[in-house]
Amino acid sequence: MSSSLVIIPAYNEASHIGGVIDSTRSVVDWDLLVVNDGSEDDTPEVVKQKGVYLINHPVNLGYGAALQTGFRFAKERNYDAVVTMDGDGQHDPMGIITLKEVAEREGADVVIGSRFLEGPYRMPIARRIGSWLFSQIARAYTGRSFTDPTSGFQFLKRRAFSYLASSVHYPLDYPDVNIIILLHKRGFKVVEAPVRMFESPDRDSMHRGLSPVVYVLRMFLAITLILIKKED
Amino acid sequence: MPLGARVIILLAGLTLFVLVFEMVRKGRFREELSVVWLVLSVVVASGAFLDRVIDPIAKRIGIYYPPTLVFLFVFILLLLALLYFSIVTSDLKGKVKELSQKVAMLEFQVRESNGGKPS
Repeated sequence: MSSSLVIIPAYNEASHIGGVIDSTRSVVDWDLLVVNDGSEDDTPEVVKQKGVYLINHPVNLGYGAALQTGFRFAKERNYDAVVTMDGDGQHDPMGIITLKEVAEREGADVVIGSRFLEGPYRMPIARRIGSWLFSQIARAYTGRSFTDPTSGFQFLKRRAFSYLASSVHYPLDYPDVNIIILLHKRGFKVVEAPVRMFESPDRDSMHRGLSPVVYVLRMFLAITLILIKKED
Repeated sequence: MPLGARVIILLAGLTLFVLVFEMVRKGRFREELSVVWLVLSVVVASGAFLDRVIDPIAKRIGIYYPPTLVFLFVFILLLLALLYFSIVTSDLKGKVKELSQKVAMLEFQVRESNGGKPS
């Protein structure tokens, strides 16, 4: 058993998950865990053929809940570090090495992979504006620049993912800049590193459906609550 | 208060009361959650006879058609009822998440204990 784990939440990714597993294995010799979030296609069957760890949610709970299940698994199995990746093939697995190196160099608890540090990346304008707005808020609070706070490509050390594994603040759907602020408030060091992501505008599936206005309002509320609340 | 308005208000309250009561009796609505609606229906029904109370209050605050005050009051109660049920739903959502994650982990452990890599 490796001391590091790759966590891949997956919802209806039968056509991509096999390739994601293969390409990740070609880069790192880590354990892999796929958290099947109530998929209605053949995602679990594809994963079973690859011989990696598979946890099946009985119902669809959301991307954030799937990540948290992965954190709980990693905490119970005493992994030292995890990397979270999307199951749609957007994240270049080579980024795992970059994230780990930056974590060691900076002494960081969490390293967020930013697609914008690596180079130009097309994103819907409404999401881009929201992302920029909250990255400014994160910068004001943490003193650090975060260009891609919604990135699902992250490296977390044990103390960070163990905390998030049992945090009531961890959202069911999309962890965002509010989680960066939460981690900073609790004394974790969070930094960014450049990673390559492949553009797939029609496959930004985990982040579709939330209108920009609702997203902005929700983030303001989430950030305000984190700033005014005491410990979990 | 015009007789027509009185009748409508009374019927609305009684209908709601009977509807909720029947659903509880048939087991389609949990008792503890139905109390909010039963109280609301009694308040609505009693509004048909409280014109001696409602009329002066309505005039004092500038509402010239007193039944409007009844509807305003009921509207506010409905908002509070919605808030209560939103809180209940929120709590359930959290519990469903916890249970689902525990079930998923347990199922993994069962597969693992049955031998081999649980994938």
